[in-house]
Amino acid sequence: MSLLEPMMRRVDGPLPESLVEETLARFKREVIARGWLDEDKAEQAVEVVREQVEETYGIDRRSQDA
Amino acid sequence: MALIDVLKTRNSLIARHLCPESMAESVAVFADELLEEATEPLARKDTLEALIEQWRMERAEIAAQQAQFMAEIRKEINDFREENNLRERERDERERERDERERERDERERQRVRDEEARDARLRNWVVGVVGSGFAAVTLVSGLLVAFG
Repeated sequence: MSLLEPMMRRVDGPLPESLVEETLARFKREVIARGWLDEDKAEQAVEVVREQVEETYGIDRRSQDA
Repeated sequence: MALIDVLKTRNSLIARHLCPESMAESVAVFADELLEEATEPLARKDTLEALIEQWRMERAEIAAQQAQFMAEIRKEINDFREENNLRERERDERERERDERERERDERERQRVRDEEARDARLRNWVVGVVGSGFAAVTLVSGLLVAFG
């Protein structure tokens, strides 16, 4: 555990879109790989998670251009 | 420290018939874990920035307190110097007055001695005059007696 750990704060939103999309793509790959969901449902689950992220933090679409 | 509302995500997965209830929570928790892992560098950056800002504010506050303390010390020193100078001036003034009084007393003493010497001299002269006059009178009378007697 780093010295920073006890002081760690939640990330300030909105989250960069590229980061969110990369994570969601990984999420999709992993749930399919683990056999939890098929590709179609995994894609819909990704949408559910994206909505949650959008609702909680917001997604910074500008970060894609940066 | 969940990044998304896991329960809400779970319920959405179930409501959309994407996975059975028994698995929905695992999927939601997994999504949250992946997001947390992905955003950790950002969280660290935000935490560090917040700590740096806090450190800057505390440093500025300490600098302000230090400056105020130094200003108070300087004022104390100035007050002390002024008070000390005032005391020294008063002491010098008292010494000057005392010296003046001593000079006046010495002058009076010297004047008294001079007056006394002058009075003694006048007395001496008067005595010498009287004795001289008496002697002269006696001499004159004796001379007359001898001449006409």
